[in-house]
Amino acid sequence: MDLQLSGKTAIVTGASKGIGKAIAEVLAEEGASVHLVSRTEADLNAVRDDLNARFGAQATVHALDLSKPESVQALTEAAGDADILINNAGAIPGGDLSKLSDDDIKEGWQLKVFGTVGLIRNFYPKMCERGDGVIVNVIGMAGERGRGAYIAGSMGNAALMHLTRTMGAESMNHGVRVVGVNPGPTVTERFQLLARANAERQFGDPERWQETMSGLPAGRGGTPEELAAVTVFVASPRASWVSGTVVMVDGGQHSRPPQ
Amino acid sequence: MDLELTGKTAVVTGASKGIGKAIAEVLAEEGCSVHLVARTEADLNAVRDDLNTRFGAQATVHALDLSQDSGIEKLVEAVGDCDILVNNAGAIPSGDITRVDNQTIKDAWNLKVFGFVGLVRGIYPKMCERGDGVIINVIGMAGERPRASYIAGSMGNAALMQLTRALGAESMDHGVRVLGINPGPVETERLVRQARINADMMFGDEERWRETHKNLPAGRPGKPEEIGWLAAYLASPKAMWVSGTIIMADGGQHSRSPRAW
Repeated sequence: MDLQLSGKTAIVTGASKGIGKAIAEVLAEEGASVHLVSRTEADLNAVRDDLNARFGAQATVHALDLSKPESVQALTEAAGDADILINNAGAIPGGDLSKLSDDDIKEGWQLKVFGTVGLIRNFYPKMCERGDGVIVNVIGMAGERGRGAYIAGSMGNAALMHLTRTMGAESMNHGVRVVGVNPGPTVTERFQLLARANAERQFGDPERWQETMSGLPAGRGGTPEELAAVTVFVASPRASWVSGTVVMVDGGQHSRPPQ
Repeated sequence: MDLELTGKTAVVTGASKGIGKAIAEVLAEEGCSVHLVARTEADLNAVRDDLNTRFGAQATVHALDLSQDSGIEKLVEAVGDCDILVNNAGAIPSGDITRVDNQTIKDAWNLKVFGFVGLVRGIYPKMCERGDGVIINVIGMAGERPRASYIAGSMGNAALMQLTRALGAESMDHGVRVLGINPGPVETERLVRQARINADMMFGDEERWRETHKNLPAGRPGKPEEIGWLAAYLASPKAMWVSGTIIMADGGQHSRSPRAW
């Protein structure tokens, strides 16, 4: 299927690894030129060179800390006319309310929640003015099914889901779509680190990390490629009637009965 | 994006027109062989011939009434080993609870609700046995945002959404995905017919039927091909980790606030 992404410009935040990198790869393969954003220039350069080598893709690097408002401004100035904005950056730390102060929570939200809000505040009006554009927010299943031990992430993700629905409900009147993607556990480098720590605790052997996922659908987590495929499809003109909704991508886990 | 659908077999119910026909067209374009199901053989033959002409696609016609158990049995026997099942057939009539009695509701659910359930009952276990398969239920936004004036449809659609979630939550353990699409208003012949009636009532002029949609997102209903593209993508291995959920496809309308007081 021609996703009609050839010649489109996309911004991907958190593009240096994991799901963000996989998204950038699929976009590049589909013919989009990509603005790669994260904090570490060296990592981004590696992704840029790889996209160029494998797909002949144009990619531009922006080493920015989007938890800072001035960085949000800088990215807007550099790439303000992008067709597609993919808000993917941000990992909110765990902890329950007894462990997290208000300041801890705000800090945890600074990149993922306020970084996303800041970029949307800047990019959405430009897209509306053009009468064209897509914003995809890669959020996280805890916004749908929360956990007390991950309270800041559960709350923050729910906020982003509602931002997505609320704005996406009205945006089509301006030719713009706002859509979300909720990954469940996804096997990135970071995830593997956490899983290895769990395996150490459970089995005394970090190499048995895959066994810690035996309760998940098909006994595994999602792959970055699987998340990237859904994200790029919903960003494409082939998803032209999808807006104001968050697509769950977790093999069905969220619909399981509570434990 | 290579959807990796070449050579797959898909069953599409309600395939003679509207959304079902659009889904069959995209699947055929992507290289599937398609089993087309509806009641009217002539209409299905026309779709089959069109798919063959345009895409060189293999399509087989099954003129069956899926509101009857016998129709469901015949179809399962003919195509039970399909890779993809798209449950799409079924239009539940409107009416509020004072106007639709219990028998009317049961009759209305015979095709859409029990038709879907019967085909899932027949085909899902075969897919689990093979360790592979996708079931897509094309349901409808009223299951998410109900309307009292469409009570049988609101209830029936909600039931199908729960079927989708319940099965889809476990099906990946068997290598099978079960998911749904909730279309909002889509510009099919049926919708245009109703819109003309509405325009006649509202403006005294049925030609002004497009104006009856001006409050929809982008001032228009969805296009059948917009549901077709989405269904084909979701049926493909490129949506491998999507199960147990219903994707809303209505330009965002379902997330709007009810009218403010």
